[in-house]
Amino acid sequence: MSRVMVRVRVNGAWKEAEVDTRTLLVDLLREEFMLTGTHIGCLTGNCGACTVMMDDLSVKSCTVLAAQANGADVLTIEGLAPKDSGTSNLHPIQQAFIQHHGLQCGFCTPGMILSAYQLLMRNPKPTEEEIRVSIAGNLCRCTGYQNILKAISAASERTLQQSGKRALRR
Amino acid sequence: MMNKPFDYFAPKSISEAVSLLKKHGSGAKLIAGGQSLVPLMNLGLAAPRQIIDLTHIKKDSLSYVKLDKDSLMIGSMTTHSAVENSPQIRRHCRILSETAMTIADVQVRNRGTIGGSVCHADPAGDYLAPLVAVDAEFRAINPKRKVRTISADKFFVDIFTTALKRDELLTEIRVPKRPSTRNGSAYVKHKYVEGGFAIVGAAAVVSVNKDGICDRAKVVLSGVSTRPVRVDMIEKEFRGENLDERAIEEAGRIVREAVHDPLSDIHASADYRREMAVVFAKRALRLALARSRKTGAQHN
Ligand SMILES: Cc1cc2nc3c(=O)[nH]c(=O)nc-3n(C[C@H](O)[C@H](O)[C@H](O)COP(=O)(O)OP(=O)(O)OC[C@H]3O[C@@H](n4cnc5c(N)ncnc54)[C@H](O)[C@@H]3O)c2cc1C
Ligand code: FES
Ligand code: FES
Repeated sequence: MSRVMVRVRVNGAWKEAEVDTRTLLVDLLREEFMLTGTHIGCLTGNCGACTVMMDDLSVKSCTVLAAQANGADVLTIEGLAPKDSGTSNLHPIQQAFIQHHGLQCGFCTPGMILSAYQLLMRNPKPTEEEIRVSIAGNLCRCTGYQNILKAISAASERTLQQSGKRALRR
Repeated sequence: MMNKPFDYFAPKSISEAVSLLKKHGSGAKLIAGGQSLVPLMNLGLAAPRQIIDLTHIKKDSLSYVKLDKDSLMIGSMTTHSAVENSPQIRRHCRILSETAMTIADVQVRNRGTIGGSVCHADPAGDYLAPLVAVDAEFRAINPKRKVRTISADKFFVDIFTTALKRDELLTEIRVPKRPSTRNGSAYVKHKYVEGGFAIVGAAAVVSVNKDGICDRAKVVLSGVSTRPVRVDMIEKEFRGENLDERAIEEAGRIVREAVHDPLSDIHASADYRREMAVVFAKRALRLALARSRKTGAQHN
């Protein structure tokens, strides 16, 4: 019983794998499903680089056993924009990060963007304070955070102007 | 990957989970949100031989918020986010929602559970002080389906140690309901970094009579000792008194006496913790008192 069968819906498609019970959700995504957009910074739940959505809730995928995710609906950074669609089809949050220089090395970015996604799904019109709270679990060693705040705030305005929450939903 | 392999079980019911606990004995561990256990396993600081996962048990059998005539009942698998946002908890035990908001960050709150938190019994865990302050009770079940009720005060035994027996599972936390008028409570936390654990967490619960005289004043502290510190002298001294600023200063002196052997670590020395215990206990008391005076509002 040190192996376990795991079935998850990843970015809309059901996938399964038989893995060692020690496999973390982040390992499952990166090593079994080759979705390397979800990063590993610490493995202790501190940095937020491994943030993904699981059943509509943002979680740090290094703190979830793959077996715990059995049956869950997972959304990773790869699921936010259609594959190979170039920058024009990027998700509004991704576009805002580019426009407002919300990234430098990019290591924290997938996690940051999914935390922003969680925020805007719950609260399409956050205050600056609410944006700060929403990314408290994501560390960035490059940007100094200011441009990330600007990007998230711009994404909020842009999507509201357009079609509200529907423009966000993936 | 973690060093030590383990067997994984996903029971579908509470009774199946406790039977597995009994069957596998001391090497087995329950996992709830995994927000303490998985990082410890990743670091090699915990290496259970069997993992018994509570996440696949029918959701509403351990994750719920209910009310009856006398109490608020919270299932052990209720997440910090759910505690933070539950309208019933906000209304009937505001201090718990206020506490949940101070824990870690959004992602950890989305997964971590109130039951996991108290069973882990980290002395800096935020729920410890407020649950003692509101006289919460913990319900546990064993493989013989015997339910045991333990008061919060007796539940927290020592650092990472609770009164639960090896084959018991925590099912529910109950908090006695109090009238929303003339009762106030508050939790204030001193942390060293955003999202960090408490250097000091101070919980205060105050009741005043219609003349504003104190019926009850309780202060309990997380983070300063191996278990929550109940400042009993405050309860004794202030019953029947007018809680003015002079009384709050006096409460600060009592707290300083009560915290005789504070923890000392990389984030705060023992002396600093004691001083901060005084400062934050007074802040919590002032806030609880102000809320108790907002008669009629749902501010307890
Ligand atoms: C980055 C980070 C920051 C954090 N910051 C804070 C903070 O500021 N304040 C704070 O209070 N906490 C903090 N935590 C801890 C967090 O609150 C955890 O959620 C909590 O301590 C454990 O809850 P869990 O559901 O994740 O339990 P798990 O990690 O799954 O389990 C913890 C322990 O409880 C036992 N257990 C779980 N459920 C039961 C049950 N029903 N019956 C019997 N035993 C059970 C398990 O066997 C295990 O020993 C932080 C965690 C992280 C990763
Ligand atoms: S890798 Fe998961 S939080 Fe850092
Ligand atoms: S952009 Fe480099 S860590 Fe955030």
